Amino acid sequence: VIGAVPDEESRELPFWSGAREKKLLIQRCSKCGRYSHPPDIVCSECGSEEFRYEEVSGDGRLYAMTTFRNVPDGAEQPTIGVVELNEQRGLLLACEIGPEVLAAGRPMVGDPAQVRFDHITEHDLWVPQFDFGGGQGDSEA
Amino acid sequence: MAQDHGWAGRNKVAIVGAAVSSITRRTERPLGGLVREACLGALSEAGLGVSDVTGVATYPFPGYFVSSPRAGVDLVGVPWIVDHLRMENLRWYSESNEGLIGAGIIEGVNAIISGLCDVVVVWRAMSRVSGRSNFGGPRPGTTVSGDAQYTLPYKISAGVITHALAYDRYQQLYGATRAEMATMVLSQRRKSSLNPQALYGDRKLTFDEYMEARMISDPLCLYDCDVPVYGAAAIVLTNAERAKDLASRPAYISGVSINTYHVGKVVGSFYMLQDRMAAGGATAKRLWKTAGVGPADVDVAELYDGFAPSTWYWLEAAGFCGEGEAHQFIQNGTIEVDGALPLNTFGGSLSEGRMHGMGHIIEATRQVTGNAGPRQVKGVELAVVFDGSPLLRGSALALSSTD
Repeated sequence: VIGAVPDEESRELPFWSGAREKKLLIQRCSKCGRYSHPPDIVCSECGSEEFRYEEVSGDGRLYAMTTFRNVPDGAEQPTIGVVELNEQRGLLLACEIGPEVLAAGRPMVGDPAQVRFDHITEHDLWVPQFDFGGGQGDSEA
Repeated sequence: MAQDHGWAGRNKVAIVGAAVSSITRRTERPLGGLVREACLGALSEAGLGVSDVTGVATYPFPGYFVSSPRAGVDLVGVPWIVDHLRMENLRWYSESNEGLIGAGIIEGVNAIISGLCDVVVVWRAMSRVSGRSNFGGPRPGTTVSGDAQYTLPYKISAGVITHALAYDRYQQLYGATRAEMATMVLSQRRKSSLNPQALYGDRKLTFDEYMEARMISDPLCLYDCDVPVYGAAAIVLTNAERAKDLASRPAYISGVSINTYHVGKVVGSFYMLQDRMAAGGATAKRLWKTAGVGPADVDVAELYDGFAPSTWYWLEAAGFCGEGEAHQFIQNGTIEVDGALPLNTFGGSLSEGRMHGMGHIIEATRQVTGNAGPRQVKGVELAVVFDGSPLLRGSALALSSTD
């Protein structure tokens, strides 16, 4: 399940290259430790211009969810989730919640989320996504 | 630490004219013609003419993204209107993209207080793409870079999705329901029947129709989204001394505010309900400070409803009710014309059409000057407008009937 894909240069950034190794890498300020996603160039907390990427737990909670229905007749209606990672308040990652997850019941705000990594064969791209509650595990698509 | 003395400009400038062109879903007329009509209408209400105008301001964004906009057709900026209204006495102009039209109004107020201008016209022109829009952004497989690589692969392809996410969170945190939102949307539709310029004034909307409406992005349905239109609106500002000698009754600008709350990376914050509340709270706090009043003093409130939940966020951020309480506060007649807090008395953008906040400003002006006709709230001394969604281009105005 994927919409647009990151271009050749972008997919070498740690967020995507880390996903190839099933690691969720998030940019973190080298000075004050604040995480930024999307990555920043100057830390909005302390002004530092030095960052590193760190592997995070991949655990969080569902922040909000919607199904976008304003699509052409018959087209897929994607369900989009936002997950707040446990590492930092307001550290939000988008995800797409596939029909296989929804089939197990609609996740609710605050439900525990665990990262998983999906392989998009067509683009040879690994994409961080989330499971809620039970968990489905990594998948090939 | 910045010093805070309220606002020395309180009541020194007034809105002395307000006019709206026809508001339609489609029109054969050029957008520039609608702007001309609105500007001349607002001037004529004050008994002023084009030769009196010494300053102009607008927020030129036409309401949707167009790659090479044609002046006078897709957007109406300052050069076009200066040419086509033959403005020969201008001393100052501004095109600002912040606060919807809020920044332009505040700049106009400042230009008058400084003595640079004495009569300023501020307009807003809206146009739309025909047909159903927002079909879900780029095709699957399109390549992206920059911040979009963290949203578009996950199909966050339209502004409405970020609003829907915040509303979903609001509903679940506070136990709010669509049936509660129906109360507000239906109330606004009823009020619009008393507003001759409202696009949907003659279209009744029932509770069942609302509950069964097509969903745009859960939990936002069709009737929670404002209606894209062709239309133009304009107001005329002048100083308080001159205002007293004009044909119209002045609405004194007693307070102004604009959103200054920005988080480092805007793309992520769009989802964030708590950022919306923080931004709205900061905007409201400064409005009350500049105007020297509080929410309990307000006789009528016009709160932006580009998406219906924005109105709830403003009710809470401004302190009309507590956080998480707006869904209950608006029940039981509170927001009707004769209620404790008459709200969006012209029908809002949901029923009048998407004038990007200018509809709210013009209605507040009419209410405070006693020109609201059959929907006039009794004895209005103070009207407030909170414009924009709180986080995205929020701004606020307080209007008083006396100086």
